[in-house]
Amino acid sequence: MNTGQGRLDCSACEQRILGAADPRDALRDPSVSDHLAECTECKEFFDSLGAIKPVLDRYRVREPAEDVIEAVLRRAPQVHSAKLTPERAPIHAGMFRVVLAGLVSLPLVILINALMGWALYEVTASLLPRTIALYCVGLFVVWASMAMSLGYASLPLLDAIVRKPAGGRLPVMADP
Amino acid sequence: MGPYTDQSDETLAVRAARGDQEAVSVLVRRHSPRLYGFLQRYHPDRDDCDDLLQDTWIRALSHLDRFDPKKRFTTWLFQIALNLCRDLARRDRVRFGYRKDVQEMQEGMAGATAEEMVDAMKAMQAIEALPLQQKEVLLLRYYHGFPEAEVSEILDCPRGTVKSRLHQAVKAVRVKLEPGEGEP
Repeated sequence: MNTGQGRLDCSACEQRILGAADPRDALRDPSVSDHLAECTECKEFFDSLGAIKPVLDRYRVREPAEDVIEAVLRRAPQVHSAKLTPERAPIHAGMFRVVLAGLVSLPLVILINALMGWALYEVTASLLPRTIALYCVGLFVVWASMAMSLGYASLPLLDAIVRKPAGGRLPVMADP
Repeated sequence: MGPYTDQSDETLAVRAARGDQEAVSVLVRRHSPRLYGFLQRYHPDRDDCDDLLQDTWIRALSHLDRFDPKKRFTTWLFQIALNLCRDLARRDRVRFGYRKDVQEMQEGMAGATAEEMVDAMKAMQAIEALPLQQKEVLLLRYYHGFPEAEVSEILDCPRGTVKSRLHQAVKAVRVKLEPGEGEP
């Protein structure tokens, strides 16, 4: 591989060979012929390509049918509007209702928990010393608070489940 | 089309990302022939190529907001096409084989002589016989004229690897096309 100063390197040589209509045309450039004289790898590439190019060039392909391109262009505006939908979406109505219901019911939830705590204290105080009963109620309060916190913190997760992941999947649109 | 036809792909892509349908139209019409050629040679099955062309564009258009205009649009577009081709190849679990028959090849080679047809078929079979990695490099470098650096970016591999795969591919095709090779 030749990368000497002022001379063609292998990549540039390869590019010129590939770019020529006939690889032999590339030999008109002295820098290519000089490089090929020194670089066996490129010489081998030049020889191989020269041998197969006439056959490779006969492997031609069709142009895309106009109706295929039209189908793409028909779907393009739909793709774009589908893409924009999640960005323009207002705050999810379902999420708003869930948060509202949670906040409205919060005093009731606290009241129920307080009553349960009071009942627990009454039961344990009748069976156990007062300090142990207070300890049990304290534990209940801690656990109940944690449960409530986790419950309210999971509301966004609930919203994520309700809200479909728009844009992650290509919209299914039948062509007319 | 008007002034849009003079604009660079990257500028058009930015406009298309904002919903400019004229920019989309210019991009699609500008690049579909080259893209379709790549898809046909990668996956020589007419129906699949039509589907792949549409899928490539729909995926590209729906993710245009992720396109970095500092990079080349064609590199990004062909990366998408290549990923779809590979996905399809994995799903099929069938090496593409020689499903493209003579009749179908004739459609793409109107006016070709019998000798040209035979050569085209030989070239297709020789390319199909290559390992996918070599085939990808050969298609991008030889048939679609992508520079080494761009192929390296499309395939996400070093430039040296692109070079060696191309040399191996050319050598393998030559062996396949040498007289006596592949003949019954």
